[in-house]
Amino acid sequence: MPDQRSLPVRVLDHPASYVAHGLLALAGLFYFGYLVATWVPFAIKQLKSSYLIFFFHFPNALNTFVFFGGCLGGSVLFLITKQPRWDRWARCSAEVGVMAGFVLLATGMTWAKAAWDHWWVWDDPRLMSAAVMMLTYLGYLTLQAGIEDPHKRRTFSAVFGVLAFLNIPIVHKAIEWFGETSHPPKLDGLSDPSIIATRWFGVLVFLILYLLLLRWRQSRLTTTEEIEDALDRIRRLEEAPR
Amino acid sequence: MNPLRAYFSLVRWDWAREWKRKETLIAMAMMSLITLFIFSVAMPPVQEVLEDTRGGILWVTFVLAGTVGIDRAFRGDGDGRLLTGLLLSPVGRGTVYYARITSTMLGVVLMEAMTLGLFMLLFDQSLEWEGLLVVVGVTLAATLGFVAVGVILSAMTWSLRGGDAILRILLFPLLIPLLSAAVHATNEAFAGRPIGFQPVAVIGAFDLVFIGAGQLLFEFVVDGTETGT
Repeated sequence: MPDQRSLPVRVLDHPASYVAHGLLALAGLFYFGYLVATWVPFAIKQLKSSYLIFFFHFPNALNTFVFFGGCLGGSVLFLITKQPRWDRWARCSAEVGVMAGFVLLATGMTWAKAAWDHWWVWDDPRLMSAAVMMLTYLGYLTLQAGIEDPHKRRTFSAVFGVLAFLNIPIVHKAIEWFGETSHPPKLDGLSDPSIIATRWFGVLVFLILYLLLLRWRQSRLTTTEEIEDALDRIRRLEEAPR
Repeated sequence: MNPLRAYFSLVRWDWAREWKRKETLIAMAMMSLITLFIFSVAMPPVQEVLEDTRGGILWVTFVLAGTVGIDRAFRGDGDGRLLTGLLLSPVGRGTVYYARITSTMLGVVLMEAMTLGLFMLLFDQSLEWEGLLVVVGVTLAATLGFVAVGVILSAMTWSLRGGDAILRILLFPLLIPLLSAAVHATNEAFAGRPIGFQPVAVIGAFDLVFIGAGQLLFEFVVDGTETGT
């Protein structure tokens, strides 16, 4: 049977595109590592060496938001169009967002240990906001995993995907107001254009890496759902009166 | 049917039902009493400790006991006939949503009034009239947001296997900003200090965002429930 999918879909689904994407991510990570390494002497001399973790913390913080935003987009589009692919998009975005969120929390905690000698500080608004956001999206994934009926699962998850994202700014403001700020203050030298460029290059590299994970998860989920749909159709045909 | 009249009839019908059986009210009251006693053994109930923690004790109790009521907002007798009945009634989905928020909130507020009285009695706390008014205002405003988001989640989870646990897993993280504002304001009111603008802004924003989103999303939840079962 000829492949009826559109050309971009066929290109994106081709194994070679995953290999190319993976190589791009790998090359980006290596170059990013090299860039960060060039900052080591400066960081040790003028800042605290623990500052280096910020090069990994910042890209993951932004990417967490990007992928949780992707979950919101997929949820809204699913509610409007009812097409399962938007639910898959939302679900995979949430999974990748949670992964980036774990890296965000791990790097944040490492920084906290180096700076304040505590792994966890309850009054830091950004660490707390990130943790609350993670709890909310872990709830989203629990909901996705906990419902068998596909229509219910997709609809309810999409509704929660919208609620979860709406809460983020309120969480941030509330914790900022009712906690005490102890997040790293702005240090001299951080406004250096090449430091900013390194930081944003990190955002791009991690985005490429996480997009690869998103594509991989989505393609696996699509296959799983197609098999489940086919089995469901066979079951219904067998049960139908002859 | 006039939406306002439909709204009042739904709330009245609900309350007539609950008042006859009092199942949810009793469950919430028991949960609240038990939580207060757990707090009394979990931390030394002395004045110095309570000065910083009374807002937290009250709100954790409100939320744990209130969730029992919210969990039952659509569960009814456990067979789902309550939601089906509501949807078959000739009223708009928005009216059903607001009526459900109102009748659930009435139960939760009754539990909160009882909890506040018991807390002040058992933990030897006192409030000036102004402080009491502030606590009542903050409690009503924050309970509105709590119930509004809870009702939407309850409509989603009542029919799921392990739905009561899923409800709590979804609801509690969403409530954290509301709780931090309400706890802060309650502590300030007990201490006789003005609560300031910030808790009011957070609670107000939470109420507006989640009531608005709730009304829009309730339609989809109902659609998911109807075609999924």
